[in-house]
Amino acid sequence: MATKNIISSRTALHDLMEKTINKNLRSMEEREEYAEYAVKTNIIESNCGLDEIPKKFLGYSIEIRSTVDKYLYVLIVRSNNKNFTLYLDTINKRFWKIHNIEKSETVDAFLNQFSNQLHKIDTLWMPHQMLETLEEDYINVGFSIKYKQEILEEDDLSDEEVSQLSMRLWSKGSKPSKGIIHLLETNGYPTTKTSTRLLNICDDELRFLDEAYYDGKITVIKGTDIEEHIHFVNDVILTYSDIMNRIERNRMCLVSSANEFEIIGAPFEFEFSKEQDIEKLAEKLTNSTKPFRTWGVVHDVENDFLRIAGVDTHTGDKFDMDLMPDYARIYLPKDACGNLIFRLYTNIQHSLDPRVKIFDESGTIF
Amino acid sequence: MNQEPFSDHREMMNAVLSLAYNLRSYPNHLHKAGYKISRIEPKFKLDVSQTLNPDIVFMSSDFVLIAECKSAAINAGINIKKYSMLTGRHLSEKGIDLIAEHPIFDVVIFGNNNINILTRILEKDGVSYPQVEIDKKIQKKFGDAFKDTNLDSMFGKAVNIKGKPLNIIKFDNNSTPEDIAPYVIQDLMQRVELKRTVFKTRDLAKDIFGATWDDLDEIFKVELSRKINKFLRNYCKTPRNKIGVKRRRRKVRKLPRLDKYLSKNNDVWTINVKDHWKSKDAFQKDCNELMKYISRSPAQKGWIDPR
Repeated sequence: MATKNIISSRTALHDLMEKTINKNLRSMEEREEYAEYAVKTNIIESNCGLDEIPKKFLGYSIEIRSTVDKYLYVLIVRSNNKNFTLYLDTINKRFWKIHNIEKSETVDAFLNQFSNQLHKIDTLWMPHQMLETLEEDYINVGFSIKYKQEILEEDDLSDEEVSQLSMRLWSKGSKPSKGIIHLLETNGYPTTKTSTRLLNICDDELRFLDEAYYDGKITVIKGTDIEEHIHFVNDVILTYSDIMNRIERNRMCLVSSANEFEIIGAPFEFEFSKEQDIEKLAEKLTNSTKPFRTWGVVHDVENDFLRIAGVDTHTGDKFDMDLMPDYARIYLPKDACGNLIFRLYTNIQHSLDPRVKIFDESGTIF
Repeated sequence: MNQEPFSDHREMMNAVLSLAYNLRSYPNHLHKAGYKISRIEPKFKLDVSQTLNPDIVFMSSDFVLIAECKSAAINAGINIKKYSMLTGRHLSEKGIDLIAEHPIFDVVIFGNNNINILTRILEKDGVSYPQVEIDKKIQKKFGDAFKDTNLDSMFGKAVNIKGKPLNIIKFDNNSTPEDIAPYVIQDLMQRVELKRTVFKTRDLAKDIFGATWDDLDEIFKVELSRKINKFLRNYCKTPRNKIGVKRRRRKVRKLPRLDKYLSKNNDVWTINVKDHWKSKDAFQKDCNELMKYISRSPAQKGWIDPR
């Protein structure tokens, strides 16, 4: 099967993406449907080099082609007689950008396996506060909320509690979006955004309408200027990596010399908005399944207290955790990947406690 | 490592260290008063023949706080009395950043529910430093006032302790299998994830201790390796009878073990857990069963072979 849209330089990639968004914009105006699949960018958190990516895994085979640009690669992925093309930008060693103009389901399924199966590759895990930070510079014209209680059983919930909430809002301006969030907050309902729609208008001209998802996927819904989209993607990376640096500065270790010790770093503290059943939470946190993907053994069990000696099955890093009904403490050791903190916090928001807070030594992180 | 022969010295050290963190789940008196942890178990050279070895040194922008943790009221005051001889010179000789040419030193002694006995022993030895109870509540009970008036007002009020302290120091010389077992199991699982499944006991001990391993006393390293080896032998190896034949599983089924995941050839162990969530989940359940068994079995406190 022929592979389309092979490019050999960054200039060619920008041309291709710009032509696609312009074509889609015209097509939407004339026929109210896209002419091509939307331009999308996925931000991947990477702790490995390109040479560590396996050429074959789970039915996928990957051919990596270099381009004139030292940091840009074309990935031709083959699976079940289907070919698709991804453009991998590794200019930021820690946060890779994967651009594509392919069917969403195909790329999502591939990236899901890519980030799930490979140690050292993960998606972003943006809590709703971070999505709200992204809204500050743009017009927020919509959002998705997805909350599903996955730790407790239906019987464990009180009459006031929500066990599942899915909501999608699109609007022309930002007023409805703010109004609905205010309404949910006032009533104590979950406001855990999993995506946000941002409109960038400059001098009355549309630059882009992008949808940013919690996992680092950013779709160009409408656009005229690909540079603006890439600039926005880079801003997301900057926001995320600033917090990543803060988290990784707090990783803990004992440093010793001549039998005396110094302690570096501090634990992270989660403050739950209401008392939690720590045994049920520990069970979910230690069985290595999605969404937490952490394994652990429970010890030092006392009334309303337990500790977990854990392993992040995504990276193989160790971590330790203390659980109490009102709090959890996470100890991230030296060299462990800070994305674990993002993953734990965001998933606790999505599946247990939408109003959970997180602190380090300097105060609240998000 | 401290030689105090009571297992909860480590816990008390952790409790006192925790006071210097910005926690919501535990009292944070020292953090609020502006103190940070400077050194744990430093050795200060007083003169050619004398060394002082306090438990913890905290520093604020104006004060140095020397803390001694006394989980047992024995030999309480003999060396502690000399802590008042510490000066800025001793800090600078250790390479600790000085806050002033002549920093002001406070010495505090932390005790648990033994504080009433402890204070009598200290009094006999002529020691009158502030003495703080840290147990179910935290409060200064006896001794002089702190030179740092901030500390005096903070420790003056009784504050109930609800949670447990941070687990900063995970082991010491007196650690039991109960203390070490979760970290051995954690390391085994990390080996599965990173595909480093073949190992010797000492490799495991080194991994558990991390960066501090190379600086530890050789005696401590040997002791830790011995304890880990005993844990592996007792719980991770299929028992054999006197002539070396593996005991039938039926007879040993009652005791939770991890022997189906581990094998040993000469001194080399191999861990085998399939790379599938169901296998990892089964391993986790067996590990938790074992941890429950260890924590409720009084025999384990004395390292008695369960066979």
